[in-house]
Amino acid sequence: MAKNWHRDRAAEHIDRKIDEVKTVEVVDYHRDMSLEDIPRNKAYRVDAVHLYADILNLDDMLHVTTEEGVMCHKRTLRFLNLHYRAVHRILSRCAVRRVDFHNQRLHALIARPSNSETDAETKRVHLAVSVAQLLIDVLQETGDADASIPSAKIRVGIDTGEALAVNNGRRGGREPLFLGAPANHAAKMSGGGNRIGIYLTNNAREAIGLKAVEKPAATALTGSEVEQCQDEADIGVSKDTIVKEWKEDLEKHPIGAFAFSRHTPPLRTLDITSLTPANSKRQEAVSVYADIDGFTAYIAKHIEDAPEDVVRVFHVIRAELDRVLTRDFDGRRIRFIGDCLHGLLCDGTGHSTDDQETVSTATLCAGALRSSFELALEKLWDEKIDVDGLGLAIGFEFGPMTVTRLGMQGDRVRCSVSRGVLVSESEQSRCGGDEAAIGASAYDAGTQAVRDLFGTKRKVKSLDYNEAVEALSQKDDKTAVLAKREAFMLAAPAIASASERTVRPYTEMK
Amino acid sequence: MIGSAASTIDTLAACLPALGATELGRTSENELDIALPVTHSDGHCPIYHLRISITGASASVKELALKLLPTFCPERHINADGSFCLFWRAVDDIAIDGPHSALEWWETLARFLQHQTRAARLRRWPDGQARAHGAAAIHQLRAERAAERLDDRLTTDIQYGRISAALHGSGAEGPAIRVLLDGKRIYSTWLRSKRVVNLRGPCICPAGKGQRPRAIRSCGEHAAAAATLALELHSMTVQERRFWAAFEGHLCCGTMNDCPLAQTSARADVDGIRGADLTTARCLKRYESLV
Repeated sequence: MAKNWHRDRAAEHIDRKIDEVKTVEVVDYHRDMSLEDIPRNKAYRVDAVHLYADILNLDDMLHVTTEEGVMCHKRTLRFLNLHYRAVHRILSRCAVRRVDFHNQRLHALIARPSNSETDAETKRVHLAVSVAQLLIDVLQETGDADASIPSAKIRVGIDTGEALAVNNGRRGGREPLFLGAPANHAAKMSGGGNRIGIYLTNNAREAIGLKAVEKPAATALTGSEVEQCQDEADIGVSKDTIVKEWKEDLEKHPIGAFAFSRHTPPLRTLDITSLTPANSKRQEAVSVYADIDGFTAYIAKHIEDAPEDVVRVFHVIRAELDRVLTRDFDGRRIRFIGDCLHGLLCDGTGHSTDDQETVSTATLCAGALRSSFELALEKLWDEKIDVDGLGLAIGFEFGPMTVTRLGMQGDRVRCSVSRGVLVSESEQSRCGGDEAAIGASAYDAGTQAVRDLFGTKRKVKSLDYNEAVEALSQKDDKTAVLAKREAFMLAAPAIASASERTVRPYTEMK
Repeated sequence: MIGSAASTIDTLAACLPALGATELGRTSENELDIALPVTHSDGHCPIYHLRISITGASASVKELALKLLPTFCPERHINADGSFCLFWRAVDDIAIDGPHSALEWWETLARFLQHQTRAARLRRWPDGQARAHGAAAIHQLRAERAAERLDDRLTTDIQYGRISAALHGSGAEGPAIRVLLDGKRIYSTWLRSKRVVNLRGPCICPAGKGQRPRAIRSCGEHAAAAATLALELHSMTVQERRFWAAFEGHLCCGTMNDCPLAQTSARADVDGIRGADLTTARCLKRYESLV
């Protein structure tokens, strides 16, 4: 049966999700509260420091070989695994909370000391800067010369302020996810350039008595500014101690060799929690990113007057996007990254991927994600929830993909990294809220119908599911033709027959 | 009875079960009101309330009071009297003289309405198959036939609006028509003498490409076909301009991009558009409430 999207199916699910968040409670977070297991219809307003650390040389690792082969992926994953372990050690020694480790990007939260202490915010920023410097120092020594694994080059972004902590919706729903300006601005600081160093937003700079600057993403903290923070925070652990412990740990628990196998499609049935380095997955597939455009501004607009609506909009849209990817198109969600969904799609067999079908399915899925998104907005609007300014930016790319879990045993983090994953993210970044973009490899691997749809700019506007099916099937894309045939199976026979017809309308001079 | 309005209506009405449509009534012997649900590939199924008017073996159709479409939009092939221009009678006419042609007419209508949803979303007619407006259609048809004689891809390019013609220069031979693909010149034709400017140049068919391109003058009848294509494209442009000039001042529905009416008239009230255009209308309303 062809993978497809149906309006009624989406409407029913969206209605159910809206019902789940009819009553939402937003409360101020205090230190006695747990950020684990936040109920779906609850959010905590958390005043904290957000730290993002980007490993800048991941892309270099992925391009050490011309071909993106098994060796390239093994080395990249080993590179990440070594650094994940070091980061884990630093964060646990400094009582800093890891929110997520999304491939090359760490998100951590410094919520202590709480606001009941004097100058709590200043202390939190001092601690964040000290931890950031420790990350930079340690990760400069956690490479592996024997295995040609370089040390990591780190760029850190830090912001402070109030964000909403909500349930991240993953299996078990244990970990929180933070919505709001500080998380987003910290990410922009870390992702805002290629120079290593620690970059604070003006908000964070002012919290520790530094002057605001014109371009915070281009103004790293100086050595003396960092030293001052280290003196104030006094984290009580040195780089040498961490590196020593990390080495001892590696000796006791060596990283097993990475071994890859394929997962027989559909990817939906892939159990990521069972993956380990020795049991990793690798196959040609599509990586898709769908990001709610304008959501940070939306949160900033409503965090004071209607934070409940922020939670409602977030849960409803995100749950529906996830359903489309996994249920309608048999894809596998890798993770939610804030308001962004990252997933994989693959058509084919246990032995090989059907490249063209996979790209066509991804194109239909991109249309379906937008159809569901717009339907969700309509239904939220009907509930008198403001949804102005929200859009959906979608990017996808085709190529060899990996899925595994990295880090310390008992605290492994899911990871899907490849050139295609990075490209799909950058394709999404070049889209506005009503656009979808396709990477160059997916464009080349797709049918002529897919290439015509996206055009030479590899970007298309207003692509919903109906348009994707119609535009592709008109040019004999087999996947779309099949999806269309199934869509009209239950329709009146003459309407089904009409859908195959070519019409040439005219306009009279009357 | 064959050919009378009553028999045509009965023939059309007999098809309603196959369409899942409901007869709402007959206001006279040549008018049939119906509710037509039009399913789309995504399961969306707006219901159109339509009045079918019969003249002999011909039918015309317009929306009843509950409107899902603009009342007038040449770009969406809705005539000034609100009737849908499903096809160009001179070439594509469907004479409703039996069950087969009746079903063909209904299917054409249903497909036209499916395309309306796409047009509302894309803000342009979707599949590149629409006829040119008014008297431009005959020139478009001739241009397409000339293109078929040259290269199939040219026909597709014409349908997708990638080919255009523009007058250029004024030498001893008078002005030339430049034929452009995506704004880039591919060849020129003298307007007065009706021949290709550079007959020694490579042909625009596949034989004119590659290492030993064939000259257009020695490529069968392609020199004549290319000249016809240029002249017909030029005439089509002229007629299109005349068409839009005739409608200057008419109310623009504001649902299509690059509509010449938008530059010469006020926009229609968005309250007049419902259903298929609801999202567009709602966006406009929201926008208007902000400014």
